[in-house]
Amino acid sequence: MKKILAAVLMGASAFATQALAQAYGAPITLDQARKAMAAAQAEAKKNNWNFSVAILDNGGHMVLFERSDGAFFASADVARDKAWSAAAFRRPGKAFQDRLATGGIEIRLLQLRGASPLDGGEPLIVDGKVVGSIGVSGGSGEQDGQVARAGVAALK
Amino acid sequence: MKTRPVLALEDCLKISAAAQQEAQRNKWIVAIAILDDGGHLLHFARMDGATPANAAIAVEKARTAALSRRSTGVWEERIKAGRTSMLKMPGILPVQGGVPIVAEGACVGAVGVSGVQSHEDEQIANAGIAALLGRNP
Repeated sequence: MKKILAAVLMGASAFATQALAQAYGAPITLDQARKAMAAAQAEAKKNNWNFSVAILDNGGHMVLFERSDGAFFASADVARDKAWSAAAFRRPGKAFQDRLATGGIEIRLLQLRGASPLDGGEPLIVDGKVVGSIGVSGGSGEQDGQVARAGVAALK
Repeated sequence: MKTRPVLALEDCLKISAAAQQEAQRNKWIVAIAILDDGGHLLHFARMDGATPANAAIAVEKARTAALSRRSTGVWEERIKAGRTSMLKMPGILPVQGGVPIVAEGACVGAVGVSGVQSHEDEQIANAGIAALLGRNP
């Protein structure tokens, strides 16, 4: 009981802190987007993976997009969906994915309009503010997440 | 077995860079979309100051050109000539600025541009494609 309570509290506070810390800032510039894209593509290339990478501004509108040779075409829309979710809810798809995996009432997340409960979508943060988001699709969820987070790190 | 050329990311980067250069040369601010022949996104870039609407319009112009194998300017001309029923064509945005990319006789995709006057959008798209093909589309 104690253990469960602690886990619930930790989960809740992690979520609340994250939501509070990340207000929207100025929308991402094309130069910033290029920097994040280059880092994400470098991470993908290092592993010989083929991806679609979408970068949106903090209104959920596309700024930069690349689909590498060999990525399946559905990845283009999935990458955009993941990025839209990360910008709109200001949290990674992995956060939704993990909550959904706990089952029970959390299955309601599937009804959250526009939310993508898939690893591979991350808010892009500059000076503690959400300036946009990055969405990656084409590999396993974990690979997508790894590439997206490489993009996030480039702006830190 | 038939074979046909396919756009690689490297080709898209070449098109987009040349299109952005053409825009910058004229001090124009635009969004540029490159789609494959199935109408799926391959590359996109929106210059600072281009509106969210430009982003969506560039993609739709490119999709129209990619799927109909015709420039969106041709669709616009048809409607201007009086074929208003063409406005009900599914998936057609009949505004100049979307141009198909034809290589070895096959449509391999399209470029869509939005941000300035329609004929200027088309000029930018053409400049991008010319950089890839070494000739005007």
